[in-house]
Amino acid sequence: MIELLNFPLDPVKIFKHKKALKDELLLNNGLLDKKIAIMGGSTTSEVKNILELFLLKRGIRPEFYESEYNKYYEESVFNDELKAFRPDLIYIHTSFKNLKNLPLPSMNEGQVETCLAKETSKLKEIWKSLESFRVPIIQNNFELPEEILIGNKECSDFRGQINFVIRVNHFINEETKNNENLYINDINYLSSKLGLSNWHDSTVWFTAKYLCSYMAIPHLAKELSITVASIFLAPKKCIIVDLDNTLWGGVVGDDGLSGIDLGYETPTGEAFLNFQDYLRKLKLKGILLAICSKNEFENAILGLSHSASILKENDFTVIKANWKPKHENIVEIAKELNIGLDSLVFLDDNPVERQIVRENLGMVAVPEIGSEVENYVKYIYEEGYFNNVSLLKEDVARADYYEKDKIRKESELRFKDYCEFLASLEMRADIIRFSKDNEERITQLINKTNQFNFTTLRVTASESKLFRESNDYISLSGALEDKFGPNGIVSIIVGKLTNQICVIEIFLMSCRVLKRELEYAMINELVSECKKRSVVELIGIYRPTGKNEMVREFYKELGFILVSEKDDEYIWSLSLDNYFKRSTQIRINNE
Amino acid sequence: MNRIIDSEEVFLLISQVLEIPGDNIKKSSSSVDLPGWDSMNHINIINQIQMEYGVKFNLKEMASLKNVGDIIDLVNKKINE
Repeated sequence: MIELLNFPLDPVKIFKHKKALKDELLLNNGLLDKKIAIMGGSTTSEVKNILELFLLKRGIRPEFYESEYNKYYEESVFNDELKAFRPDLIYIHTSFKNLKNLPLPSMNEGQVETCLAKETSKLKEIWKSLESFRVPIIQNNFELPEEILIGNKECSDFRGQINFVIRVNHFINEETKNNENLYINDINYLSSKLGLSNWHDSTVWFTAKYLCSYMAIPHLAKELSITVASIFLAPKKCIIVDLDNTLWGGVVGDDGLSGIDLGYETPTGEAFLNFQDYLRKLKLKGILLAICSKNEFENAILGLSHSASILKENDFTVIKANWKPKHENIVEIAKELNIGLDSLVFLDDNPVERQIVRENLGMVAVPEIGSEVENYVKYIYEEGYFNNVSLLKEDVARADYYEKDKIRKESELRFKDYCEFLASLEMRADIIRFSKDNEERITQLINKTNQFNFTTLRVTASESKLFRESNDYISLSGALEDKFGPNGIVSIIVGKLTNQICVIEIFLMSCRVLKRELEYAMINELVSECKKRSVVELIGIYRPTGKNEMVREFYKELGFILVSEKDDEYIWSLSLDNYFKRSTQIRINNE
Repeated sequence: MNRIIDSEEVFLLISQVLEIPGDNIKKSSSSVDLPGWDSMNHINIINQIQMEYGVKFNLKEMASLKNVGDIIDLVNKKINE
C-alpha cells in the first residue's frame, strides 16, 4: 500500500486509502517527531492529512498546528498560540488567491509599485514576526493565475497579473539569500508541471477554498515533504546503476561495443545519453556514482569506453561488475564508501533485480523505474532523493575526495606500522571556534553524520549560530588536510558550560577520516579551552542509535568513569586533573 | 444502454471518508444522520466521488444534493452524458 506514495502518484487511490496508509506507516520504527505549524491562506485540512502521509513515508511523524482559516497573517504576527505550540518548522500555505493588491489595467506605474510594496512588506512582516522562533520557515511562492485579463501582454506589461506574480516571486528568491531559515515551496514550478488547468479548480475554490484541485493536493504534499525531509534528514549520497539497458541499450557482453545503443543515431540511443548526462550533473553537485552490474569487469569497462559515452570509468567511485548477487555487491559498495545503506539509490531496468535488492536491503531506495530509458530521470527527481537545501563547495568536491581517499587507502597497505603510515600522511589540522563562514558546512555535517556521532543531536541553522555566538558554549570545528589534499571540516565538538562543568552535547566526525586520531586532537583542544575557562569536570554523553556502535567505548578509553546508565543514554565523567593529552600524528596548525 | 454505477461502491467510499461501518449507509442517508459528515467531509465525499468516476459536478448541481441517492443519480446522469 505504501507504494501508492511513490512516483507516479494516483491521487484518487491516495485519498481512498488515506486511513490504511496512515495505519501502515505508523508501524515503522525510528520515526522522528516534529512539530509542524501550517499557517493557512486557504483551507488546510486535506493538505495536512495528505502531508502527514508523505512525511511518515520519509520517517517524520508530524504533530500539527493548523491556523484558523486564512489567518496566516494574524497568527504569524500575533503569535502567542503558535509560541505555545513550540513548532520545529513553520509552513506558510499561501497562494495567488492571497494577493490582495493586484495591479489593475487602470493603474499607472507608481500605483503598481505601491501594490508590489504592499505585498512584499506583508511577507516581510510575517517573516520578521516569526524570526524569534528560530526555526525553518517554508514559504509557498506564487503560482500563475489561470485567468487572463490583459491578454498576451499579461507577462510583460507592468499592469499584468503574470508580470506581478513573477516580480513577487523574484522578491522571495532574493530574500532567501539573506535569510538562511527561509525556504521556498515552489508551487509556481509545481503548478506549471501539473498544468495550470489541472492545478486550478474554480469549483473547488468556490465550494471548499482549497488553493488547488483535489488531484493536485497529493503532489503538493509530496513536494513539501521532500523539502521538510531535506531540512531534518540527511539526503541520499550515492546512486548505484546497472549497465546493460540502464546506461546503454543492449547487452555489451553479447552485442559487443559496436552493438550497444548509445549515441545520436537512434532516439533510444539519445535517451541513454540524456540519462547519462543527468547522472553526470548529479555528480557535479556531490552525489557519488557507482556501478553494480552482472558482467565481466572487462566488458563493463569496455561499455564505458564507448566513444559516445558521456560517463567514463573514472566517473564511478566504485565499480562492481561480477556475477555475485547484486545486494551483496551493494553492501560492499556501502562499506567501501563508508556510508549507510539508507544513503543509497539503486537503478536497474530489470524488475527482478530491483525486487531482490528491495527484499534483501529494505533501506536502499529502489524506484520502480520500468524499462523505458526515456522515463528513468523522472524517478530520480520526482522522489527528491538528492534534494539539498544548500549546495556547498564540499558537496561539489565530494567525488574528488573519494578519489584521493582511494589513493590514501592504497598507500596504507604499504606500511607495516600504522603509526608510520599516519606520520607519512603529513596531516595538519585547524581546530578552531565556529566561524560564520563555516556555519553552513558545520550545520550540514552535524545533520548528516551518523556513525562517529555520540549524541546524534541535529540542529537548525539558528542553533548553530547560537553555539557560535554564546559564551556558554565551546564550539570547535576540525578541518583536516594531508599530503593528498584537504578534507575540509570533518569534525565538530560542542560543549555546554555550566558552572565549572562542560557537557559534551555534540561530538562527531566524518567517516572519511576515521582512524586518523583526529578525535583525540579534538578532545585535546576541548580540554585546553575548558582549562582556560576554569572547568574542572568534563561530561560525555553517549546515546546508542544502532548506527554509532563504534563510539560506545570511546569515553572509557579516554579514562572517563560511567556515572549513569539508562537504555538510551550513558553519561561519562572525567575530572580534568586526570586528563592527559593524547599525542597524535596530526600537526595542529594554531598551536 | 445507460451505464449505472454500483451504489455499494459509493456507500463504501463514503464509509471510508467518514471512517464508519458501511452497513448503515443507504440512499436516504445524509449529513443529518451519518456521524462525521461535516462540511469538510462533505467536500471530501463530493470530490472523491468526482475523481473516482471521472465526472465533474457544477456549482448548481452540488448545491442541489440532499442525500446519498442524489449523489448517485447525479453520477449516473454524468457518466452517460
